[in-house]
Amino acid sequence: MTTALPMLDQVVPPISLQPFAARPFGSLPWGDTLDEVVQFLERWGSQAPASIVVPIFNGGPHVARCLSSLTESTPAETEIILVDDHSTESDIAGLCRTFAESRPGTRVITNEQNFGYVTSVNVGIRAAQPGNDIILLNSDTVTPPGWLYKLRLAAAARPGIASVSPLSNAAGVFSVPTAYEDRALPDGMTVDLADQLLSLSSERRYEVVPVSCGFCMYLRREALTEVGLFDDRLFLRGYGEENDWCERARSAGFRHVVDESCFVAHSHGASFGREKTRLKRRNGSLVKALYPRHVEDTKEWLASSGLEGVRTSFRELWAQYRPNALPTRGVRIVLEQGVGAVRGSLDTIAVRINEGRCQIDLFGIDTSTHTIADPTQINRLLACLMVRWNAASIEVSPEQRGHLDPRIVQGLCGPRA
Amino acid sequence: MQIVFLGAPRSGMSRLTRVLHLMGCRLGMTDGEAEHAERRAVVALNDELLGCADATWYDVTPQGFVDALPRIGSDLTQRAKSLIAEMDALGRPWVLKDARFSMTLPFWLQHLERPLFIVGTGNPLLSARSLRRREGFPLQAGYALWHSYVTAALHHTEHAPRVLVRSPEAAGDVRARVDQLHGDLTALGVRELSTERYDEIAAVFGDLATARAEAERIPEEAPLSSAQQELADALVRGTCPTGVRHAPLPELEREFFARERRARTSSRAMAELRAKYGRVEGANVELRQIVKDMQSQFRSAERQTGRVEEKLRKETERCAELTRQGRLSKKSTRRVVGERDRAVSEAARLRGELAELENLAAKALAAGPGGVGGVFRRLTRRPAAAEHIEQLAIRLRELQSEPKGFLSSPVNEWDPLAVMREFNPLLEAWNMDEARLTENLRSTQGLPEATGLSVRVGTLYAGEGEYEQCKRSVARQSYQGIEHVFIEHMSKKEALSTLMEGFLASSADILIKVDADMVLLDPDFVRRVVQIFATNSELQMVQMAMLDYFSGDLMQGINAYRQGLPWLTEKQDSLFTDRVKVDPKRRLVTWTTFADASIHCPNPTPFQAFHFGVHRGVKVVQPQRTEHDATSAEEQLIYLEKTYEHWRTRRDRRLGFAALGFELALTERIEVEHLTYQNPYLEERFREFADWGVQRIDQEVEALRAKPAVAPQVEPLRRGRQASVARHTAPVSRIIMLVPHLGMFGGVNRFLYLARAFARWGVDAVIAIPDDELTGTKRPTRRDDFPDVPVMPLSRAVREDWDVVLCGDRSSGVLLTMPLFRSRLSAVYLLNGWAHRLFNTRQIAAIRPDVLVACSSYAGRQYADLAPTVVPGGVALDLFFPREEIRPRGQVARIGAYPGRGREAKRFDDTIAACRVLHQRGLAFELHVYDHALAGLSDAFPIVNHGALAPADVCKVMQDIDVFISSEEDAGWCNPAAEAMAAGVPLVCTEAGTSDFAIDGETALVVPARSPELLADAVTRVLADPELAARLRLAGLERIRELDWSNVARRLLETFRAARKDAISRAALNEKAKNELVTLGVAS
Repeated sequence: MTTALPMLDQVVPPISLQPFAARPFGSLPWGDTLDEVVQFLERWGSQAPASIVVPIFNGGPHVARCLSSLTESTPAETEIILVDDHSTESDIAGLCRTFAESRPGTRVITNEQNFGYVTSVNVGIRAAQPGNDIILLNSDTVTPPGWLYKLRLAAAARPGIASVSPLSNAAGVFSVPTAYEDRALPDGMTVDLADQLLSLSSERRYEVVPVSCGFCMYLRREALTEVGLFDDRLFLRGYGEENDWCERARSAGFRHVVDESCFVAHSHGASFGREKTRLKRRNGSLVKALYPRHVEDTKEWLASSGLEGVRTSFRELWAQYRPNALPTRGVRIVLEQGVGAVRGSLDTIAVRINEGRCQIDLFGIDTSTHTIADPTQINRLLACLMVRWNAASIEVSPEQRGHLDPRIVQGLCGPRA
Repeated sequence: MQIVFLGAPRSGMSRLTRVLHLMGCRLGMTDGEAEHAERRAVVALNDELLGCADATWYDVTPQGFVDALPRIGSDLTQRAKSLIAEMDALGRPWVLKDARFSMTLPFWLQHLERPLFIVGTGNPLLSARSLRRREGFPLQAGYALWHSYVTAALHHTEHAPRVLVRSPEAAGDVRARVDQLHGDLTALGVRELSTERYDEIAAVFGDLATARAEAERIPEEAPLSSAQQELADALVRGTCPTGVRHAPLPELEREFFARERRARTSSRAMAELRAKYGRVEGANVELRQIVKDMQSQFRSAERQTGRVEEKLRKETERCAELTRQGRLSKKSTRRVVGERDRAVSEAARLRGELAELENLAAKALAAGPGGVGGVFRRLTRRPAAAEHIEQLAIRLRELQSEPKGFLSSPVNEWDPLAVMREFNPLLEAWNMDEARLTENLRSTQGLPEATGLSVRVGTLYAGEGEYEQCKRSVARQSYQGIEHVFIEHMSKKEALSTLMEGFLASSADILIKVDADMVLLDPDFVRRVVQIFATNSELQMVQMAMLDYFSGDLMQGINAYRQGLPWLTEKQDSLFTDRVKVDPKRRLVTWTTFADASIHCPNPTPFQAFHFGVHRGVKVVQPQRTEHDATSAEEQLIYLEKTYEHWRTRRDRRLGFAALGFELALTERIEVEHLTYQNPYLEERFREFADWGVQRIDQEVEALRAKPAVAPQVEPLRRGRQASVARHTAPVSRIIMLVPHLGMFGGVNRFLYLARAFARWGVDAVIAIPDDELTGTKRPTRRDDFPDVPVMPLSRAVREDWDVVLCGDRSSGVLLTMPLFRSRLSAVYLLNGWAHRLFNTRQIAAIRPDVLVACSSYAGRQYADLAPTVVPGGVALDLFFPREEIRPRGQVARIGAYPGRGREAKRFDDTIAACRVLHQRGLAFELHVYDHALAGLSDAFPIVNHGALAPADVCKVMQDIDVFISSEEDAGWCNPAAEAMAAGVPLVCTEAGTSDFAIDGETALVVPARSPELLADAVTRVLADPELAARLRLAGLERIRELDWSNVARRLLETFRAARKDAISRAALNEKAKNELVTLGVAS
């Protein structure tokens, strides 16, 4: 049985992956029991489609880069809504039109007046297919391949998730390689590469965070229905409205997570340009008034956050990175019967799970072997590996199929498996 | 340790409980309960226990409570045990406070495991006085209650560990009292307490200084009995009496309380009956009168409508005839216009009467029973009459906007050119006055900073969730010497009266009323308010709009009063509180100035939100009024509809409860008395919904919106509420900006830049200039460098409809034509400093604009008495930008400056003087200037005059400059300094017109005006320290980029939107302004 899963992009840096080989299964954000794994797969499988809302006001070059990256990184069937907030630059309308013509699922909405960022976001959300999840994406971002898949996976990782944020070069507390240090990508690093390095270094802990970052935010419909839209009355043109939304969602019992395996580039400040000081000051004090514990909660989370570990790994990988040795194959998972019955070698098979034993080869760079105490654990491992390494394919020998729980098979491969 | 706090009622126990809380005792309050008040569960249980003894808290049984113990049911016992267990679960020590414990303690003693008692002995005078104010008990009855409670408390606790505490108002060193209380409690085994938070504890006592002083001033209005006096004296001496027996109430007082109890019971029963069956008889009487009045008024209105129609018909014919003749004499025009105005106002009055009739009819319908058929048959003709009026209005409007012959039209508004012609002599005269005062203004450098006024902040508290936030926000204020007083748990009317009377009897200069649900966001809020009063001695009241959580919009919320304002408690309305009669000229209403400085209800409790909604809804229905005030009702409905819309966006249950509350109030009969927090009605209603989620609330709100209103007169307003909100919040789409000419001046260029920026935001912005007829010369109607900006003559502009008319101050008389414009909003843009203050304030007073905007913080400070909204900026960043690479400094330094056409206020002489100092110090430099007016300028050092330059060329010159000097003495906005900063030149300047971007040591070096030596020193620092120069340059660029025209235009639009005016109210103000102009003797 073979089924195609989304590809991890073809990057294999000649660097040590031993720390990651030692912890190959991720942190099981959805829980340890088989039932919890099944529930995760059900959540994942029953997710609503996602619509991407891109509010735009001027910044032609940024918008062009953003739309270009969306073209390359986002499945063609994804609904994209471009909300032009009465841009004064003449090329914006043309950019939006050209993009819409190239993608059938795109809608362009042009505001009659400039209503501001928050209202434009709400306009976009209201225009999206009812029931769809929403990805709010600023027009000064660049998305790598697979970003949507990763965010959707994170959104299903736990029950009751309201929003998911990726990491970025300029996203305040969600910045890599250093928190709050908003800067352009280092020389030589591309958005795709940064995303791949995060994919390697992240264990997919999907840490629960008090707030998400508004530049790129996956919003689950369930939470939108319960919590409502962004508050453009109190927060006017923007800054702090995402903190407000997140706090409201938390009050309603939802949680927010960060997908530390996903990187979306951001040109911080281009979204608001010259108004930011005043808006930040005004809306900052508003958030404090509405949520007197907001600052303390964020500080407490920061003090205990595991993101710093991801940043450290990211920095280490980047320090070792060499551009001249990039393997081109992805991860393949093979389930086979018996130690001696292995077909193929670790050169071509990245993960081999046999009875009582799981051998993992990370891109031919590092390997590790793990004991499997109970054959039924294979179900759990399979899901973990798939999430942790974004496996390109799974092969299961006929002898092993007996150990597989049909719910897992269906969850991983769809109803036709 | 289980601490039970008992003693005399109204004896300051709440404050002492607060002290215990600060020491570390747990209180166990639940949502919606005030932190230091009695717990509702305790009060309810004690009341029921007293009920077992056939007593109430005031009608205490003479037999004592012990006899009642056998009658206490197991349910009450179980509840008491649960309550104690609940408190124990919180952890000991905890405190339960209720004066009723004094009576019911025999019961509680059976269930407390390790009790310790604190007996609040209070002050009989204060206690009785408070009971009189709150409950209406005579003083002697209050004394008797005090005596009975204190003796009962002492009796029941005699053999238990206990501490006696005096009234918080009692004299004595606070530290010593706190230490003693702490020591006493520790000695009795309560070891977990501490006085670490002494400052906060002392603040509790500190708050009482005023009360203590007032207590000492209280005359003894009735003597204590000998037994009462004896006990009071013993307690004051600090001796703890032993062997005290519970003193029953004296016969007379017992009789009084028994009567009081009967009266209250009857009153409650009566109120319930009235609510249940309605005021049928009263409604019938009222109905008969309404019908009678209506018949008479309707006949009269019909007759008058006919007369107006006839008059207008004749006038219209006459106008048409005169227009056909081509021209009218000025006198004739005025006469006809006068007639037309009278006809218009009569028609308006008739429309008002008809609207009134409609309301009355609705009321008659609401009253129910028959007998009004005849009236309604007559009323069915009302639409026809109304239609006539509408046709008249349409015709009038057509006449007003006839496309040709505006100046000769008999129905035009005033002739703006005539107004300008006739006003100019007055302006000249004002100019002369101004010249005389300029020296004085220069010596004071504008208005003084506020200091020395003592401020009382008054907070009324009735259980709001933001109380602690409110207190903290006041405590954070930068203004020194604020006294914060709290008035807790009184009805609104009573609390307000207490606050105002307390303020008027105090030595405070200013009272700022910040309710417990309001949070000050700006730590300079109080300082800014005081500044207004300090600089405007005429003001008695300032009203400040604030951000409101419920509607997500601005609302009038915080009022500030000057000592001595007129206040009449008996004139207060229990529904529409906070009404102070102040002459409009002595009252300042701000909408946008403080809009970001405070917020209303950021964290309401669910019940608070519900209560708030009901309260607003009752304001729409106005059940206590015989005449329904439709204007006020519509205002409330607009507010409520905004709250509903906010709820649709923001699914916060509390917004939902607010929406639910007001829909309930609109659809069922809720009385004003239900709104007091002491009345349990709303709490009981709320329990039905308290657990509902978002979806359930939503369903109920939508269902209620579909129900008819409880009062028929409300229904038409309710049906039109969405349209009202749309009208109220319509975006600004057309702006007319008045300038005296199109010459190349900063004050004119500003409007051209703004017109361009407004257009980018989708707003149609037009410049108006006086017609050539006025100036006598043909002047350009376009600026070559702004070909995209539309320009029209004043005479045409006054004939069109605008959202905003905007004019700069001074403006050579153009500003005085503002009342002639048909717009929703009138805004004056303050562009100058103190030098033109007198002149400007006179013009502003005459034209009564809705909004004052200052172009800089500096300009705003010069007009602090008028509380303008500061929108700083701007600068054209597309014209002024830095070089891509920093130019290395050459051997000869280049200093830049703008001579300002030689005008005095520019103080270019100071720049020259500074350069002379630099020259004497041996610095090799050139001074680069650009000004056509100073050809031939020379001095001991080299001066390069580039002559008059276009902005792009100015930028090029600036890009080659090492440091730019601005030595202006007074300017609203200093364009050259802002442009130099935008061009990446390190700046040395005065604060005149620069304070929004020139921050000393960060983005520029700022020196006092008229200080050439200091200017020279600063220039030397910049030239000698390349690192400093680079830092100033970078920080300056970062700062100035937030002040470009686009940003200024957007903030102006936000300000206009927030100012929320409509054409009708603006037109009314315009009429007043015109009258003011006539009074000045220029126009007839």
